[in-house]
Amino acid sequence: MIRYIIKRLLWMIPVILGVSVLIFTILHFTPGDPVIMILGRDSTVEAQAQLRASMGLDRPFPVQLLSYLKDVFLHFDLGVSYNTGKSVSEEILFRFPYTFMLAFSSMLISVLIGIPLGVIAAVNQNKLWDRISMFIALLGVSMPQFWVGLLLVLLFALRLGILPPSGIGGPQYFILPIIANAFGGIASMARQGRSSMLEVIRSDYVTTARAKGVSKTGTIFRHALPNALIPVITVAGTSFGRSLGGTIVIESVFSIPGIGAYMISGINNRDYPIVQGCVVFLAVTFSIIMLLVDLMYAFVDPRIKAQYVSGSRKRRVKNEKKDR
Amino acid sequence: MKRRTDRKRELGPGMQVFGRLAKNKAAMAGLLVLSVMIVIALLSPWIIPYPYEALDFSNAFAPPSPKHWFGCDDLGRDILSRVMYGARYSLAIGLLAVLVGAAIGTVIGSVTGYFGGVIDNVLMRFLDILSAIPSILMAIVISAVFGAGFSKCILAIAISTMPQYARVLRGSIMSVRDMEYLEAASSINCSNMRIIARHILPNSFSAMLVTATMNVGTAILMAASLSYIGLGVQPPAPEWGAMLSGARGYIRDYPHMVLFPGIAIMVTVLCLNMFGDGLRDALDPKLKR
Repeated sequence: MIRYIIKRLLWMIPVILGVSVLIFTILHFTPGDPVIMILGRDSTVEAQAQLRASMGLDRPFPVQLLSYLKDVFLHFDLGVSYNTGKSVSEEILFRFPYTFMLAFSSMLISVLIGIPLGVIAAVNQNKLWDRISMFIALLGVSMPQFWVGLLLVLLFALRLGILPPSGIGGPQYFILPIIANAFGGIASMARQGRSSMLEVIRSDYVTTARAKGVSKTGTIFRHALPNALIPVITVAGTSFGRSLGGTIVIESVFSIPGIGAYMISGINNRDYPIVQGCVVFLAVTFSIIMLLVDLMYAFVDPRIKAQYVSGSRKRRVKNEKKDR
Repeated sequence: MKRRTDRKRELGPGMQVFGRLAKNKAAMAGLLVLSVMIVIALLSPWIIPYPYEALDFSNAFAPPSPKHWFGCDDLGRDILSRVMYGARYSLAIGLLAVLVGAAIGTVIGSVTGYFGGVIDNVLMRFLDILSAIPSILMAIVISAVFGAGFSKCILAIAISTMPQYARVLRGSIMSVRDMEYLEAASSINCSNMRIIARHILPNSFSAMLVTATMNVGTAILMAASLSYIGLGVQPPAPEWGAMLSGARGYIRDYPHMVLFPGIAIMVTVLCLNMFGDGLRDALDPKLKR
């Protein structure tokens, strides 16, 4: 198990490196000269050349790429903003709590509300409750998150006046953004939970359990639920990615000064170090969470755990045979 | 001789799928509403009650009324007309983004699934890198690079969702890779290209079809989000996300401006999901995604 964790952790390095190279390359070849953005069109060529040299933008692309990677991975330095000259890393660390809080609590709520809803629906398959909750879930995955946010603002902030419409402050400021961000997640978790549970309920061992006289609730909690939850856990990882991405848009709806808002300001000002920094940082966060989810997956599913604990060599041999 | 029987068997399940799909009321309802929307989108230049870009300041912020069913926006433009015309943007973006993404994904997925080995490893690691970036984030970066606009928005969504198709296809190819009929095909000297195109893809088609159908809705949602933060289709084009973006400043006093474009998005995606769910159940009751 530990070997597996180490292997996964090591594998993260090339992935993050790849993400950094990819994003740096894409943004490097984007039209729009940051020097002219800063100095304005009617600045002198000398001034432009001087600034370009001082920002290191006159060096060839591979050199710039290498120095960027060196800064990021050896010094954890994501560069400085073209416009304000402030450190991107500091700004991101300052904003990160908002974004993480938003994304993480949305994921948590999606899992905690979505899965039970799905399980209840599956147990009562084709009854009225199942129909209604699944239709609502279907609606939920069909609404744009930012629109849900706008509707929530309209209802709870502007009409009822019980929650603040935007900005940051006490906990009450985060209620609407979290609900807006979690809404789609709850719906998709409920759908996943239902289909996964249905599959398990139809399986032979559940029938056996019922036949030997275990009560209906007993079968569901002791036999069906643990097995149904396994595939749902992987979805929780993607759900975090979804929340993290959704946060970017939700932050703009609720004017929350998180990483997403920072990145969009970077895009609008053509401030590439900001964009690069945010993407790399979010990709690292996402990868770590995915890793944790995978580990949890291996932890709850004895079959997978067994594969990694003892079978790694056996598996490799088998794969080689297959490849041949 | 053998091929003929194969054909026959292929057609049978196909008809069965249609039969099952036609019996699914939700899927049929979704399909019906979608068809109506497509017709509206196609005919919109001739059937919208007012020109979608016509300014009429005497009617600015007019609430819904018999004259303007969905009311008017800040410049007095009829929202119903704009929503109807905007269906063109959303539906086109959804369909084209999925087509482009699925096409790239098919190429990558079939190459990596069929050849395996080093090619598989390299391509899958590349997809790992792409997948380390949440897809909406990727779409935002790509549209930041290409700039805003209709075709660039399609490209951004297509690229950011491409890994999904590649993975789905790779998965289903892996499951048919060792089948005897492929060995038979290569033994009668079929080229790799031909084996992939004629024998593997048709057999891996159903998983792709379901993913693609579901993703049309996702693509529409993504396009709306991109437009909302100012990176997708630009105003004054009546794309639904862009309309919502323009309306957000007036949400307090004129909620109808926020309501109707959002409902349009919701109904479209809802119908796509209902149809997609039905298709999934019809193609394979056991297939989960």
